[in-house]
Amino acid sequence: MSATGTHKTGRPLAVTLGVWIVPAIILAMGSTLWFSATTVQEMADSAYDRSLAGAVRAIDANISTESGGVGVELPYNLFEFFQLTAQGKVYFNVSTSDGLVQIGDVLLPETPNLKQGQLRFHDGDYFGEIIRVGALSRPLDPAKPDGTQITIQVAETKLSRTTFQNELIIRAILRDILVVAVLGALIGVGVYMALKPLNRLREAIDAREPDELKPLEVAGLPKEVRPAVEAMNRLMARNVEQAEQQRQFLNDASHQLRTPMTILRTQIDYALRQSNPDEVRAALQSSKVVLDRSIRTTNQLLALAKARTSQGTETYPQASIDVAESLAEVVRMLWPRIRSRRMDCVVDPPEVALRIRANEGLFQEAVMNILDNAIKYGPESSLLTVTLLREDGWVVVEVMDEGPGMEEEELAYAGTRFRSGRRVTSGSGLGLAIALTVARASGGSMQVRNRSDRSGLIVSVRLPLAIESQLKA
Amino acid sequence: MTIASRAALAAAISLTAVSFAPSLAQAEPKNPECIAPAQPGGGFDITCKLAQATLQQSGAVKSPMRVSYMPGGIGAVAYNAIVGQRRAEPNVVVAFSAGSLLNLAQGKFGAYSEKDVRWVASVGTDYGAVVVQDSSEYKSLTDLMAAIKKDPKSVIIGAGGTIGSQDWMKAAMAARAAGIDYKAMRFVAFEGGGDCATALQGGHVHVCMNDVGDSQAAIDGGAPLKLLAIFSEQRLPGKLSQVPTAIEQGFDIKWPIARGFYVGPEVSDADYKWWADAFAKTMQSPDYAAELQKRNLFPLSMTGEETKAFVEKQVASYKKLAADFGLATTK
Repeated sequence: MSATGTHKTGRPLAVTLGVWIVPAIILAMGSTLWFSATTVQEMADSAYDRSLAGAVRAIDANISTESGGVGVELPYNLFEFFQLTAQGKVYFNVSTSDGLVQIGDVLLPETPNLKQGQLRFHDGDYFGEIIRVGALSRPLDPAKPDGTQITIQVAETKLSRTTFQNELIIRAILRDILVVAVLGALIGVGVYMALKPLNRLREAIDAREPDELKPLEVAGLPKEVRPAVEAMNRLMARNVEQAEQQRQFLNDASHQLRTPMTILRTQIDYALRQSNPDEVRAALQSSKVVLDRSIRTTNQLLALAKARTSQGTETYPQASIDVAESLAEVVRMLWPRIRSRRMDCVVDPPEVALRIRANEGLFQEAVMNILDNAIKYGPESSLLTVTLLREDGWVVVEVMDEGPGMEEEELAYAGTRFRSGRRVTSGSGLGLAIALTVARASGGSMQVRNRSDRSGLIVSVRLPLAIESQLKA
Repeated sequence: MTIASRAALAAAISLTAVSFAPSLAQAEPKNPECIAPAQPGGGFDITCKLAQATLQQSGAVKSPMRVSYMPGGIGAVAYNAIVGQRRAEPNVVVAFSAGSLLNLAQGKFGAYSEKDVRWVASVGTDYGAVVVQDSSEYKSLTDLMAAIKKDPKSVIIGAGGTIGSQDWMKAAMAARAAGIDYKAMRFVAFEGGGDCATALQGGHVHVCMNDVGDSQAAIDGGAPLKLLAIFSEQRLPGKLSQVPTAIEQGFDIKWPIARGFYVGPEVSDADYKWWADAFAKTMQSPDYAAELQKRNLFPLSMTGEETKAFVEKQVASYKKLAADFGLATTK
């Protein structure tokens, strides 16, 4: 299984590196190449021009004006030496500005803008050959700078110079190609070596059993990769924890469901054996109580499952809820139960409306379960207090009863473990689990503590206050 | 010799002339000098050497004649020097050739015309010749023209003088006769036929458009050269009879080269006449023909006003020829 095969949309790291590094190298090489080509050309020109200048000066030195005429010694011997170094054909032309003297290759192209005493070089064309011309102009008689000027031109074919330049440039290109190749190979090896631990990691993961959730070995991994692997380990740890919780929950739930079933069966058996209708009726009455509890437990389990799966799904859409209104509705629904135990419920509304963003059904389910617990555990004729307040960006709903409270050890597990206080018989402990799950699903939290003023339990749910933009939505 | 001492000499000469007059009206100028307006070894050199030898032999000139060289533009620099600065030196004669007259016709001698000097004499005639290395692949003028026609760049033509000069003109006429664009010819200019012959021997040019006189002199001196053609009407006598004319080879070109002398414009009538008489006397002497032949020259004797008329006629006809080849001419 190749890396590209596993990540169809992801690009191999080597390709990413290549895409960035190779063009950078090519760009850098291209510019140095251009630079060195220019330099080579200039240097070769300057070197070749120097020998051309030497030939011009030598012809100049052999021009004699002593007889009153203009004597030019034929420079062919000179050229033979010159040609040894230049390896091309050499031409010359000597002419005076009055047009009286013209010697040599009179058809050589004229040197433009030649100033007196200046040695000038330029390219030209002579019978279809590219030539380089060096030219010098000076007064024929040094005593008369404004008199007749004599111009000396020496030209050589550019072939050998161009060949020389091309050879140097080709060498530079080859060198640069070699450098790019070596660099590319080194980068390739480097990338391979750098990615090796990742490959080992992948192999280690591939080799695992599907249910193996032990943390991955972090030692020996590159520093950059370590955080990712550590995060992965944390995720796996959470999975382990959650799996453990679910297993616990399932154990508890099955126990909670099996017990009433067994009781029911025993009661029905008992009822079937009775001939006295009153006995049968009494047995069915108590069966109904057990059945009611089972129905409630089942409903709660379903609610919990709903709450667990609600997070991030479209099945239970969130909306902006007025918390006080929603609470009042829950209390209204539970009012018969509260009154049946001759209890009273006080709701402390806030001064302004507080809104949260949550699924209203789940929210009410959570509050209902907390209140239900409070009704169940609170003694008859006691008082339930529901407080609604705002703490910074949070909405806090507190439900306070006058029951026995919980033991310290139980407080720690409240809502996370499938169990209820030992002192009570009719609770499954699912209520707080539902409330906690809903609170977490809405981005909040739940806290359970004993009252400090008297015996009793305070269940406090914190939910994020809806921000303005969400309200409008 | 400085100009000052020369002037003093001239003064002394004229004083002498006054004191010994009238019987000696034509006094010989002191320190006679012949200027060959080129490097040694060319046609001008031969002309001066001819004068140097024969003038003394015939007794026309008593003191030895000096030959000096003033190269530059096939006589152009010397012409300018004589007309510009040395206008009245009675002891100086300057060699000229038909080539000088062709250049004059094209204004290649600067601002001056043929009327700016005094033409003394024509002492003989030469003929244009095509010269190659003895070992050259070109065996005839026809070969040569065929090669140029095939690839004009491949044949480097050397000549005394630049484009428009008589040597170039000979090549251009031959090229035109062969149906070649004469402007495509590869052409290298030299300061006279002597330099061209040197370059030819070095292999720097493939052919020289020279003259019979200087070429044969070089061959006689042992140079490994040969003549492909001579631009004369008929074959020349003597050893030159081996060389075919251009006409024989199908190129209807004649190029005689008159050779002679001029003096400065302000040289006195008396001195001018003295030089003309001296040349007339010399050319009538019995040894003169042999001296001409030795130098591969042929008789064309004129002196004084006759020379002037000849020069003017030649210049006029050269102007026509130059215009024919698209060259600039003077009015």
